[in-house]
Amino acid sequence: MSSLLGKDEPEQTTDAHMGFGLSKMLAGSNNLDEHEGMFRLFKSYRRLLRTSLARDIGATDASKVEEHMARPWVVCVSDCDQGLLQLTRWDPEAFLKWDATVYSSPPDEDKPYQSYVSIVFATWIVSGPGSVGVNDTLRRDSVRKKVSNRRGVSYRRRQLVEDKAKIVQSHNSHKKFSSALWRFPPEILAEIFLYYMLENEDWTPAPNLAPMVLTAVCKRWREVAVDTSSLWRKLRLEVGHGNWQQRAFCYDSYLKRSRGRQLSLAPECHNDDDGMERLEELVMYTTVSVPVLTIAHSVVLSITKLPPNMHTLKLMNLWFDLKMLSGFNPLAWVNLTNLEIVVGGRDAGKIVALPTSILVHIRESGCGLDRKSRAIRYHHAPQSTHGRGSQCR
Amino acid sequence: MVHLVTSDNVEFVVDKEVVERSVLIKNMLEDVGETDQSIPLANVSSAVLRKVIEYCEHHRGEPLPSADADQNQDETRKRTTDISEWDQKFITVDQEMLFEIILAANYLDIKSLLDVGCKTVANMIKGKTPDEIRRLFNIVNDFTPEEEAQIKKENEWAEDR
Repeated sequence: MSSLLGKDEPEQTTDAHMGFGLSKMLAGSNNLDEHEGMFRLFKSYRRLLRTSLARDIGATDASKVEEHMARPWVVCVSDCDQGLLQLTRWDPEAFLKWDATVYSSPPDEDKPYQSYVSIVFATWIVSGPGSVGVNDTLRRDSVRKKVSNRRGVSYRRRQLVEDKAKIVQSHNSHKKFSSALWRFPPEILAEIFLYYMLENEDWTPAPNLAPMVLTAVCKRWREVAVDTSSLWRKLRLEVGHGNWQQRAFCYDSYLKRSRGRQLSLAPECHNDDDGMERLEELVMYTTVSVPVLTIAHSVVLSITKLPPNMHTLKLMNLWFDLKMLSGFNPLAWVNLTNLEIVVGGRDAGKIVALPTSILVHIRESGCGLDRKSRAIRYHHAPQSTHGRGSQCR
Repeated sequence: MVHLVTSDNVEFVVDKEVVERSVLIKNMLEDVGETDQSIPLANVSSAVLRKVIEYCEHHRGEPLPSADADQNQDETRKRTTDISEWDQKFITVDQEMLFEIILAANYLDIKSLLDVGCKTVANMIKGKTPDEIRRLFNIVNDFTPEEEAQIKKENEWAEDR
Protein backbone atom coordinates (compact mmCIF):
# COMPACT_ATOMS: atom_id res chain seq x y z
CA MET A 1 0.00 0.00 0.00
CA SER A 2 2.88 2.31 0.68
CA SER A 3 3.77 2.33 -2.96
CA LEU A 4 0.58 4.23 -3.63
CA LEU A 5 1.62 7.22 -1.61
CA GLY A 6 3.30 10.29 -2.98
CA LYS A 7 6.83 11.05 -1.81
CA ASP A 8 5.83 14.22 -0.08
CA GLU A 9 3.10 12.58 1.89
CA PRO A 10 3.91 10.74 5.09
CA GLU A 11 2.91 7.18 5.14
CA GLN A 12 -0.33 6.92 7.08
CA THR A 13 -2.23 4.16 5.52
CA THR A 14 -4.78 3.00 8.00
CA ASP A 15 -8.11 4.58 8.59
CA ALA A 16 -7.33 4.74 12.25
CA HIS A 17 -4.18 6.69 11.61
CA MET A 18 -5.86 9.09 9.30
CA GLY A 19 -8.87 9.55 11.48
CA PHE A 20 -6.63 10.20 14.39
CA GLY A 21 -4.57 12.67 12.44
CA LEU A 22 -7.60 14.60 11.35
CA SER A 23 -9.34 14.59 14.66
CA LYS A 24 -6.16 15.67 16.36
CA MET A 25 -5.74 18.49 13.93
CA LEU A 26 -9.35 19.51 14.18
CA ALA A 27 -9.44 19.34 17.93
CA GLY A 28 -7.96 22.81 17.91
CA SER A 29 -9.94 23.95 14.92
CA ASN A 30 -10.80 27.25 16.52
CA ASN A 31 -7.12 28.18 16.38
CA LEU A 32 -6.49 26.80 12.92
CA ASP A 33 -4.51 29.01 10.72
CA GLU A 34 -6.79 29.04 7.73
CA HIS A 35 -4.31 28.36 4.96
CA GLU A 36 -1.99 26.02 6.72
CA GLY A 37 -4.83 24.12 8.29
CA MET A 38 -6.62 23.68 4.98
CA PHE A 39 -3.42 22.58 3.29
CA ARG A 40 -2.79 19.94 5.91
CA LEU A 41 -6.36 18.79 5.74
CA PHE A 42 -6.21 18.58 1.99
CA LYS A 43 -3.11 16.40 2.13
CA SER A 44 -4.77 14.13 4.65
CA TYR A 45 -7.77 13.94 2.44
CA ARG A 46 -5.64 12.95 -0.53
CA ARG A 47 -4.13 10.15 1.52
CA LEU A 48 -7.57 8.94 2.51
CA LEU A 49 -8.71 8.86 -1.07
CA ARG A 50 -5.58 7.19 -2.34
CA THR A 51 -5.78 4.42 0.19
CA SER A 52 -9.49 3.91 -0.13
CA LEU A 53 -9.33 3.99 -3.88
CA ALA A 54 -6.75 1.22 -3.90
CA ARG A 55 -8.63 -0.92 -1.44
CA ASP A 56 -12.32 -0.31 -1.95
CA ILE A 57 -12.68 -0.21 -5.68
CA GLY A 58 -10.00 -2.68 -6.39
CA ALA A 59 -7.54 -0.41 -8.10
CA THR A 60 -4.45 -2.23 -6.96
CA ASP A 61 -2.37 -1.07 -9.83
CA ALA A 62 -0.32 1.84 -8.53
CA SER A 63 -0.14 3.66 -11.84
CA LYS A 64 -3.91 3.46 -12.26
CA VAL A 65 -4.43 4.94 -8.84
CA GLU A 66 -1.95 7.68 -9.58
CA GLU A 67 -3.76 8.40 -12.82
CA HIS A 68 -6.96 8.93 -10.86
CA MET A 69 -5.22 11.09 -8.33
CA ALA A 70 -3.62 13.24 -11.00
CA ARG A 71 -6.98 14.32 -12.39
CA PRO A 72 -8.28 17.79 -11.66
CA TRP A 73 -9.48 18.44 -8.18
CA VAL A 74 -12.46 20.49 -7.29
CA VAL A 75 -12.46 20.92 -3.58
CA CYS A 76 -15.31 22.56 -1.77
CA VAL A 77 -14.99 23.51 1.85
CA SER A 78 -17.94 24.56 3.88
CA ASP A 79 -19.03 25.27 7.41
CA CYS A 80 -15.52 25.90 8.73
CA ASP A 81 -16.86 28.31 11.29
CA GLN A 82 -19.11 25.70 12.78
CA GLY A 83 -16.29 23.24 13.14
CA LEU A 84 -17.49 21.16 10.24
CA LEU A 85 -15.50 20.66 7.11
CA GLN A 86 -16.73 19.19 3.94
CA LEU A 87 -14.38 18.43 1.11
CA THR A 88 -15.58 17.35 -2.26
CA ARG A 89 -13.61 16.20 -5.22
CA TRP A 90 -15.49 16.02 -8.45
CA ASP A 91 -13.78 14.04 -11.13
CA PRO A 92 -15.63 14.82 -14.36
CA GLU A 93 -13.66 12.33 -16.44
CA ALA A 94 -14.45 9.32 -14.37
CA PHE A 95 -17.89 10.50 -13.21
CA LEU A 96 -16.71 10.05 -9.69
CA LYS A 97 -17.64 12.19 -6.77
CA TRP A 98 -15.64 11.93 -3.61
CA ASP A 99 -16.97 13.33 -0.41
CA ALA A 100 -15.14 13.50 2.85
CA THR A 101 -16.91 15.08 5.74
CA VAL A 102 -14.92 15.86 8.81
CA TYR A 103 -16.85 16.66 11.91
CA SER A 104 -15.07 18.32 14.74
CA SER A 105 -18.13 19.61 16.50
CA PRO A 106 -20.46 17.22 18.18
CA PRO A 107 -23.58 15.90 16.48
CA ASP A 108 -25.00 15.76 19.95
CA GLU A 109 -24.51 18.69 22.24
CA ASP A 110 -24.46 16.43 25.24
CA LYS A 111 -21.24 14.85 24.06
CA PRO A 112 -18.98 17.63 22.91
CA TYR A 113 -15.70 17.39 21.04
CA GLN A 114 -16.34 14.05 19.51
CA SER A 115 -14.96 13.69 16.06
CA TYR A 116 -15.17 11.28 13.25
CA VAL A 117 -14.40 11.12 9.61
CA SER A 118 -16.91 9.99 7.10
CA ILE A 119 -16.08 9.27 3.52
CA VAL A 120 -18.69 8.68 0.92
CA PHE A 121 -17.74 7.24 -2.39
CA ALA A 122 -20.29 7.57 -5.07
CA THR A 123 -19.83 6.45 -8.61
CA TRP A 124 -22.08 8.33 -10.94
CA ILE A 125 -22.69 6.67 -14.22
CA VAL A 126 -24.07 8.55 -17.16
CA SER A 127 -26.30 5.91 -18.62
CA GLY A 128 -27.77 7.89 -21.46
CA PRO A 129 -28.65 11.39 -22.63
CA GLY A 130 -30.40 13.31 -19.95
CA SER A 131 -30.29 10.61 -17.28
CA VAL A 132 -27.82 10.30 -14.48
CA GLY A 133 -28.05 7.56 -11.94
CA VAL A 134 -26.18 6.39 -8.91
CA ASN A 135 -24.65 3.08 -9.76
CA ASP A 136 -23.00 2.29 -6.55
CA THR A 137 -22.64 4.01 -3.25
CA LEU A 138 -20.28 2.83 -0.63
CA ARG A 139 -20.21 4.52 2.66
CA ARG A 140 -17.34 3.99 4.96
CA ASP A 141 -17.15 5.59 8.30
CA SER A 142 -13.47 5.36 8.90
CA VAL A 143 -13.28 6.46 12.45
CA ARG A 144 -16.13 6.86 14.81
CA LYS A 145 -15.54 7.61 18.39
CA LYS A 146 -18.40 7.66 20.81
CA VAL A 147 -20.87 8.58 18.11
CA SER A 148 -23.68 6.25 17.28
CA ASN A 149 -24.87 5.47 13.76
CA ARG A 150 -28.13 7.16 14.48
CA ARG A 151 -26.43 10.40 15.46
CA GLY A 152 -24.17 10.27 12.47
CA VAL A 153 -27.09 9.88 10.12
CA SER A 154 -29.06 12.67 11.74
CA TYR A 155 -26.01 14.89 11.56
CA ARG A 156 -25.53 14.03 7.91
CA ARG A 157 -29.20 14.74 7.29
CA ARG A 158 -28.92 18.14 8.92
CA GLN A 159 -25.93 18.86 6.77
CA LEU A 160 -27.79 17.88 3.62
CA VAL A 161 -30.70 20.13 4.55
CA GLU A 162 -28.26 23.00 5.01
CA ASP A 163 -26.59 22.21 1.70
CA LYS A 164 -29.94 22.14 -0.02
CA ALA A 165 -30.81 25.56 1.38
CA LYS A 166 -27.51 26.93 0.07
CA ILE A 167 -28.05 25.44 -3.37
CA VAL A 168 -31.58 26.86 -3.55
CA GLN A 169 -30.29 30.26 -2.46
CA SER A 170 -27.47 30.14 -5.00
CA HIS A 171 -29.86 29.04 -7.74
CA ASN A 172 -32.22 31.90 -6.98
CA SER A 173 -29.46 34.47 -6.97
CA HIS A 174 -28.18 33.21 -10.31
CA LYS A 175 -31.60 32.69 -11.85
CA LYS A 176 -31.47 36.06 -13.57
CA PHE A 177 -28.38 34.96 -15.48
CA SER A 178 -30.06 31.84 -16.77
CA SER A 179 -32.92 33.81 -18.32
CA ALA A 180 -33.21 33.62 -22.09
CA LEU A 181 -33.21 37.42 -22.05
CA TRP A 182 -29.43 37.26 -21.54
CA ARG A 183 -29.08 35.19 -24.68
CA PHE A 184 -30.70 37.81 -26.88
CA PRO A 185 -28.21 38.96 -29.51
CA PRO A 186 -27.84 42.75 -29.81
CA GLU A 187 -29.93 42.85 -32.99
CA ILE A 188 -32.98 41.43 -31.20
CA LEU A 189 -32.62 43.92 -28.35
CA ALA A 190 -32.25 46.71 -30.92
CA GLU A 191 -35.41 45.52 -32.69
CA ILE A 192 -37.33 45.60 -29.40
CA PHE A 193 -36.00 49.09 -28.71
CA LEU A 194 -37.10 50.31 -32.15
CA TYR A 195 -40.64 49.05 -31.56
CA TYR A 196 -40.55 50.68 -28.16
CA MET A 197 -39.58 53.99 -29.80
CA LEU A 198 -42.67 53.91 -31.99
CA GLU A 199 -44.82 54.25 -28.96
CA ASN A 200 -43.02 57.37 -27.89
CA GLU A 201 -44.71 60.40 -29.40
CA ASP A 202 -42.76 62.83 -27.30
CA TRP A 203 -39.40 63.69 -28.78
CA THR A 204 -38.22 65.48 -25.66
CA PRO A 205 -35.13 63.94 -24.08
CA ALA A 206 -36.25 62.66 -20.69
CA PRO A 207 -34.89 60.01 -18.31
CA ASN A 208 -38.12 58.03 -18.31
CA LEU A 209 -38.85 58.33 -22.00
CA ALA A 210 -37.42 56.48 -24.97
CA PRO A 211 -34.65 56.31 -25.87
CA MET A 212 -32.94 57.63 -22.73
CA VAL A 213 -34.72 55.21 -20.43
CA LEU A 214 -33.10 52.33 -22.29
CA THR A 215 -29.61 53.58 -21.44
CA ALA A 216 -30.25 53.47 -17.71
CA VAL A 217 -31.38 49.86 -17.22
CA CYS A 218 -28.12 47.90 -17.31
CA LYS A 219 -24.78 47.89 -19.09
CA ARG A 220 -25.87 45.64 -21.90
CA TRP A 221 -29.03 47.58 -22.69
CA ARG A 222 -27.06 50.80 -22.59
CA GLU A 223 -24.46 49.48 -25.03
CA VAL A 224 -27.11 48.29 -27.46
CA ALA A 225 -29.20 51.47 -27.16
CA VAL A 226 -26.22 53.77 -27.67
CA ASP A 227 -25.04 51.71 -30.65
CA THR A 228 -28.46 51.76 -32.32
CA SER A 229 -28.31 55.04 -34.22
CA SER A 230 -31.94 54.82 -35.36
CA LEU A 231 -33.06 55.39 -31.78
CA TRP A 232 -31.51 58.85 -31.74
CA ARG A 233 -33.04 60.36 -34.83
CA LYS A 234 -35.89 62.30 -33.27
CA LEU A 235 -35.18 65.24 -31.05
CA ARG A 236 -37.13 68.15 -29.67
CA LEU A 237 -34.92 71.18 -29.19
CA GLU A 238 -36.15 73.67 -26.67
CA VAL A 239 -35.08 77.24 -26.46
CA GLY A 240 -35.90 79.67 -23.75
CA HIS A 241 -35.44 78.22 -20.29
CA GLY A 242 -33.20 76.03 -18.23
CA ASN A 243 -29.49 75.57 -18.22
CA TRP A 244 -28.34 75.78 -21.81
CA GLN A 245 -25.00 74.09 -21.16
CA GLN A 246 -26.65 71.04 -19.66
CA ARG A 247 -29.13 70.96 -22.50
CA ALA A 248 -26.41 71.29 -25.10
CA PHE A 249 -24.63 68.32 -23.52
CA CYS A 250 -27.81 66.30 -23.86
CA TYR A 251 -28.37 67.37 -27.49
CA ASP A 252 -24.77 66.63 -28.25
CA SER A 253 -25.18 63.09 -26.91
CA TYR A 254 -28.17 62.61 -29.22
CA LEU A 255 -26.38 63.89 -32.27
CA LYS A 256 -23.28 61.80 -31.64
CA ARG A 257 -25.39 58.70 -31.19
CA SER A 258 -27.43 59.35 -34.34
CA ARG A 259 -24.13 58.99 -36.25
CA GLY A 260 -25.11 61.00 -39.26
CA ARG A 261 -28.44 59.23 -39.79
CA GLN A 262 -31.40 61.23 -41.09
CA LEU A 263 -32.62 63.46 -38.34
CA SER A 264 -36.08 64.58 -37.40
CA LEU A 265 -35.96 67.73 -35.34
CA ALA A 266 -38.60 69.66 -33.48
CA PRO A 267 -37.20 73.06 -32.52
CA GLU A 268 -39.43 74.66 -29.92
CA CYS A 269 -39.36 78.19 -28.65
CA HIS A 270 -41.19 79.45 -25.60
CA ASN A 271 -42.59 82.84 -26.46
CA ASP A 272 -43.24 83.71 -22.86
CA ASP A 273 -39.51 83.53 -22.27
CA ASP A 274 -38.86 85.62 -25.32
CA GLY A 275 -36.52 82.81 -26.26
CA MET A 276 -36.61 83.28 -29.97
CA GLU A 277 -35.76 86.93 -29.55
CA ARG A 278 -32.64 85.94 -27.70
CA LEU A 279 -31.76 83.13 -30.06
CA GLU A 280 -29.10 84.55 -32.29
CA GLU A 281 -28.19 81.46 -34.15
CA LEU A 282 -28.44 77.74 -33.68
CA VAL A 283 -26.22 75.58 -35.79
CA MET A 284 -26.04 71.85 -35.34
CA TYR A 285 -23.43 69.64 -36.81
CA THR A 286 -23.40 65.99 -37.60
CA THR A 287 -20.35 63.89 -36.90
CA VAL A 288 -19.07 64.81 -40.34
CA SER A 289 -19.39 68.51 -39.53
CA VAL A 290 -22.08 69.25 -42.08
CA PRO A 291 -24.59 71.86 -40.91
CA VAL A 292 -27.92 70.20 -40.38
CA LEU A 293 -30.11 73.10 -39.43
CA THR A 294 -29.65 76.79 -38.97
CA ILE A 295 -32.24 78.95 -37.28
CA ALA A 296 -31.43 82.61 -36.80
CA HIS A 297 -33.19 85.49 -35.18
CA SER A 298 -34.91 86.59 -38.34
CA VAL A 299 -36.76 83.36 -37.77
CA VAL A 300 -38.02 81.14 -40.52
CA LEU A 301 -36.73 83.23 -43.38
CA SER A 302 -33.32 82.23 -42.17
CA ILE A 303 -34.03 78.58 -42.69
CA THR A 304 -32.29 78.70 -45.97
CA LYS A 305 -29.90 75.89 -45.49
CA LEU A 306 -31.33 72.47 -44.87
CA PRO A 307 -29.10 69.55 -45.66
CA PRO A 308 -30.16 67.09 -48.36
CA ASN A 309 -30.43 64.23 -45.85
CA MET A 310 -32.98 66.03 -43.69
CA HIS A 311 -36.48 64.81 -44.45
CA THR A 312 -38.48 65.77 -41.40
CA LEU A 313 -38.78 69.19 -39.85
CA LYS A 314 -41.03 70.27 -37.03
CA LEU A 315 -41.26 73.92 -36.12
CA MET A 316 -43.28 74.35 -32.97
CA ASN A 317 -44.91 77.54 -31.71
CA LEU A 318 -42.87 79.76 -33.95
CA TRP A 319 -43.93 83.36 -34.02
CA PHE A 320 -44.14 84.36 -37.61
CA ASP A 321 -46.47 85.36 -40.37
CA LEU A 322 -47.35 82.53 -42.68
CA LYS A 323 -46.92 84.84 -45.62
CA MET A 324 -43.25 84.50 -44.93
CA LEU A 325 -43.43 80.95 -46.12
CA SER A 326 -43.67 82.25 -49.68
CA GLY A 327 -40.31 83.87 -49.27
CA PHE A 328 -38.49 80.66 -48.43
CA ASN A 329 -35.66 79.44 -50.48
CA PRO A 330 -37.16 76.52 -52.42
CA LEU A 331 -33.96 74.56 -52.32
CA ALA A 332 -34.05 74.54 -48.55
CA TRP A 333 -37.33 72.64 -48.45
CA VAL A 334 -37.25 70.43 -51.47
CA ASN A 335 -36.02 67.30 -49.69
CA LEU A 336 -38.48 67.43 -46.82
CA THR A 337 -41.00 64.63 -46.67
CA ASN A 338 -42.49 65.57 -43.32
CA LEU A 339 -43.14 69.11 -42.22
CA GLU A 340 -44.98 70.28 -39.17
CA ILE A 341 -45.34 73.91 -38.23
CA VAL A 342 -47.32 75.01 -35.23
CA VAL A 343 -48.09 78.73 -35.24
CA GLY A 344 -50.20 81.32 -33.48
CA GLY A 345 -53.91 81.29 -34.24
CA ARG A 346 -54.45 84.00 -36.78
CA ASP A 347 -53.36 82.09 -39.87
CA ALA A 348 -54.83 78.76 -38.92
CA GLY A 349 -57.16 77.17 -41.39
CA LYS A 350 -55.43 78.58 -44.42
CA ILE A 351 -53.99 76.74 -47.34
CA VAL A 352 -50.52 77.95 -48.03
CA ALA A 353 -48.45 77.33 -51.12
CA LEU A 354 -44.81 76.71 -50.45
CA PRO A 355 -42.26 77.77 -53.03
CA THR A 356 -41.93 74.22 -54.26
CA SER A 357 -45.62 74.24 -55.23
CA ILE A 358 -46.34 71.95 -52.32
CA LEU A 359 -49.73 72.40 -50.80
CA VAL A 360 -49.77 72.66 -47.08
CA HIS A 361 -52.98 72.33 -45.19
CA ILE A 362 -53.27 74.09 -41.90
CA ARG A 363 -55.48 72.64 -39.26
CA GLU A 364 -56.00 72.79 -35.56
CA SER A 365 -53.29 71.13 -33.61
CA GLY A 366 -54.14 68.04 -31.63
CA CYS A 367 -50.81 67.73 -29.90
CA GLY A 368 -51.82 69.06 -26.55
CA LEU A 369 -50.49 72.50 -27.37
CA ASP A 370 -52.27 75.73 -26.66
CA ARG A 371 -55.78 75.58 -28.05
CA LYS A 372 -55.22 78.72 -30.05
CA SER A 373 -52.33 77.12 -31.86
CA ARG A 374 -52.75 75.75 -35.31
CA ALA A 375 -50.59 73.20 -36.99
CA ILE A 376 -49.48 72.76 -40.52
CA ARG A 377 -48.58 69.19 -41.17
CA TYR A 378 -47.38 68.11 -44.49
CA HIS A 379 -46.17 64.76 -45.73
CA HIS A 380 -45.31 63.62 -49.17
CA ALA A 381 -43.52 60.73 -50.72
CA PRO A 382 -39.86 61.41 -51.49
CA GLN A 383 -40.34 60.76 -55.20
CA SER A 384 -43.39 63.02 -55.47
CA THR A 385 -42.74 65.98 -57.74
CA HIS A 386 -45.96 67.80 -57.10
CA GLY A 387 -47.89 68.75 -54.03
CA ARG A 388 -51.13 67.28 -55.31
CA GLY A 389 -49.89 63.90 -54.29
CA SER A 390 -49.42 65.07 -50.78
CA GLN A 391 -51.18 63.61 -47.84
CA CYS A 392 -52.33 65.73 -45.00
CA ARG A 393 -53.11 64.44 -41.55
CA MET B 1 -43.56 15.85 -44.47
CA VAL B 2 -40.46 17.08 -42.69
CA HIS B 3 -38.91 15.48 -39.61
CA LEU B 4 -37.50 17.84 -37.00
CA VAL B 5 -35.59 16.78 -33.89
CA THR B 6 -35.37 19.17 -30.97
CA SER B 7 -32.58 19.73 -28.47
CA ASP B 8 -34.30 17.39 -26.00
CA ASN B 9 -34.46 14.66 -28.63
CA VAL B 10 -38.16 14.86 -29.47
CA GLU B 11 -39.11 14.29 -33.09
CA PHE B 12 -41.79 16.31 -34.82
CA VAL B 13 -43.26 15.47 -38.20
CA VAL B 14 -44.52 18.65 -39.82
CA ASP B 15 -46.12 19.53 -43.11
CA LYS B 16 -43.60 21.03 -45.51
CA GLU B 17 -45.77 24.06 -46.25
CA VAL B 18 -46.00 24.81 -42.54
CA VAL B 19 -42.35 24.35 -41.71
CA GLU B 20 -41.22 26.41 -44.69
CA ARG B 21 -42.35 29.54 -42.92
CA SER B 22 -38.93 29.18 -41.39
CA VAL B 23 -36.51 30.63 -43.92
CA LEU B 24 -33.71 28.58 -42.35
CA ILE B 25 -35.53 25.29 -42.91
CA LYS B 26 -36.84 26.38 -46.31
CA ASN B 27 -33.31 27.07 -47.51
CA MET B 28 -32.09 23.86 -45.96
CA LEU B 29 -34.73 21.82 -47.77
CA GLU B 30 -33.95 23.58 -51.03
CA ASP B 31 -30.27 22.77 -50.62
CA VAL B 32 -30.72 19.16 -49.55
CA GLY B 33 -33.78 18.32 -51.62
CA GLU B 34 -36.33 15.66 -50.68
CA THR B 35 -35.06 13.66 -47.75
CA ASP B 36 -36.40 11.41 -45.03
CA GLN B 37 -33.61 12.37 -42.69
CA SER B 38 -34.46 14.36 -39.59
CA ILE B 39 -33.34 17.96 -39.29
CA PRO B 40 -31.72 18.54 -35.89
CA LEU B 41 -32.66 21.81 -34.20
CA ALA B 42 -30.06 21.99 -31.47
CA ASN B 43 -31.17 25.42 -30.25
CA VAL B 44 -34.87 24.70 -29.88
CA SER B 45 -36.57 22.61 -27.19
CA SER B 46 -39.69 20.58 -27.84
CA ALA B 47 -41.90 22.91 -25.77
CA VAL B 48 -40.78 25.90 -27.80
CA LEU B 49 -40.96 24.14 -31.16
CA ARG B 50 -44.52 23.07 -30.38
CA LYS B 51 -45.45 26.75 -30.01
CA VAL B 52 -43.55 27.73 -33.13
CA ILE B 53 -45.32 25.06 -35.17
CA GLU B 54 -48.66 26.24 -33.78
CA TYR B 55 -47.84 29.73 -35.06
CA CYS B 56 -46.71 28.47 -38.46
CA GLU B 57 -49.83 26.32 -38.81
CA HIS B 58 -52.05 29.31 -38.17
CA HIS B 59 -50.20 31.51 -40.66
CA ARG B 60 -49.85 28.78 -43.27
CA GLY B 61 -50.10 30.10 -46.81
CA GLU B 62 -49.54 33.74 -45.95
CA PRO B 63 -46.89 35.45 -48.11
CA LEU B 64 -43.40 35.52 -46.66
CA PRO B 65 -41.70 38.92 -46.44
CA SER B 66 -39.12 39.33 -49.17
CA ALA B 67 -35.55 40.38 -48.44
CA ASP B 68 -36.10 43.63 -50.40
CA ALA B 69 -39.18 44.47 -48.39
CA ASP B 70 -37.16 43.89 -45.28
CA GLN B 71 -34.50 46.33 -46.38
CA ASN B 72 -37.08 48.92 -47.33
CA GLN B 73 -38.93 48.38 -44.11
CA ASP B 74 -35.83 49.20 -42.15
CA GLU B 75 -35.76 52.74 -43.42
CA THR B 76 -39.23 53.89 -44.22
CA ARG B 77 -41.74 51.42 -42.87
CA LYS B 78 -44.62 52.58 -40.85
CA ARG B 79 -44.01 50.31 -37.97
CA THR B 80 -46.73 49.61 -35.53
CA THR B 81 -46.85 47.85 -32.24
CA ASP B 82 -50.33 46.51 -32.94
CA ILE B 83 -50.59 42.73 -32.72
CA SER B 84 -53.48 40.77 -34.20
CA GLU B 85 -55.94 39.20 -31.80
CA TRP B 86 -54.85 35.64 -32.56
CA ASP B 87 -51.16 36.50 -32.29
CA GLN B 88 -51.80 38.30 -29.03
CA LYS B 89 -53.51 35.26 -27.57
CA PHE B 90 -50.77 33.01 -28.95
CA ILE B 91 -47.99 35.06 -27.40
CA THR B 92 -49.65 35.26 -23.99
CA VAL B 93 -47.17 32.93 -22.33
CA ASP B 94 -44.85 33.22 -19.38
CA GLN B 95 -41.84 35.49 -19.71
CA GLU B 96 -39.25 32.74 -20.25
CA MET B 97 -41.34 31.07 -22.93
CA LEU B 98 -41.76 34.43 -24.65
CA PHE B 99 -38.00 34.95 -24.70
CA GLU B 100 -37.41 31.39 -25.92
CA ILE B 101 -39.94 31.88 -28.73
CA ILE B 102 -38.14 35.06 -29.78
CA LEU B 103 -34.79 33.26 -29.80
CA ALA B 104 -36.27 30.35 -31.75
CA ALA B 105 -37.91 32.71 -34.28
CA ASN B 106 -34.57 34.43 -34.73
CA TYR B 107 -32.72 31.13 -35.14
CA LEU B 108 -35.30 29.67 -37.52
CA ASP B 109 -35.62 33.00 -39.32
CA ILE B 110 -39.37 33.48 -38.99
CA LYS B 111 -39.58 37.24 -39.31
CA SER B 112 -43.27 37.67 -38.55
CA LEU B 113 -43.00 35.63 -35.32
CA LEU B 114 -39.89 37.53 -34.30
CA ASP B 115 -41.79 40.78 -34.83
CA VAL B 116 -44.69 39.60 -32.69
CA GLY B 117 -42.28 38.66 -29.90
CA CYS B 118 -40.32 41.91 -30.08
CA LYS B 119 -43.51 43.99 -30.16
CA THR B 120 -44.76 42.14 -27.10
CA VAL B 121 -41.59 42.86 -25.14
CA ALA B 122 -41.68 46.49 -26.33
CA ASN B 123 -45.24 46.77 -25.06
CA MET B 124 -44.18 45.29 -21.74
CA ILE B 125 -41.57 48.00 -21.12
CA LYS B 126 -43.82 50.80 -22.33
CA GLY B 127 -44.22 53.55 -19.75
CA LYS B 128 -41.88 51.99 -17.24
CA THR B 129 -38.93 53.54 -15.45
CA PRO B 130 -35.49 51.87 -15.59
CA ASP B 131 -36.06 50.49 -12.12
CA GLU B 132 -39.45 49.06 -13.06
CA ILE B 133 -37.94 47.46 -16.16
CA ARG B 134 -35.21 45.89 -14.04
CA ARG B 135 -37.78 44.47 -11.67
CA LEU B 136 -39.96 43.22 -14.52
CA PHE B 137 -37.17 41.24 -16.18
CA ASN B 138 -35.08 40.53 -13.10
CA ILE B 139 -32.19 42.55 -14.50
CA VAL B 140 -29.33 43.54 -12.22
CA ASN B 141 -28.21 47.14 -12.14
CA ASP B 142 -24.57 46.47 -13.01
CA PHE B 143 -23.43 50.03 -13.68
CA THR B 144 -20.17 51.13 -12.14
CA PRO B 145 -20.22 54.35 -10.08
CA GLU B 146 -18.57 56.11 -13.05
CA GLU B 147 -21.30 54.94 -15.41
CA GLU B 148 -23.98 55.95 -12.91
CA ALA B 149 -22.42 59.42 -12.77
CA GLN B 150 -22.43 59.65 -16.57
CA ILE B 151 -26.11 58.67 -16.75
CA LYS B 152 -26.92 61.19 -14.05
CA LYS B 153 -25.13 63.87 -16.01
CA GLU B 154 -27.04 63.00 -19.17
CA ASN B 155 -30.32 63.15 -17.27
CA GLU B 156 -29.62 66.29 -15.29
CA TRP B 157 -31.18 68.78 -17.65
CA ALA B 158 -34.19 66.63 -18.34
CA GLU B 159 -34.80 66.07 -14.63
CA ASP B 160 -34.67 69.79 -13.87
CA ARG B 161 -37.19 70.72 -16.49
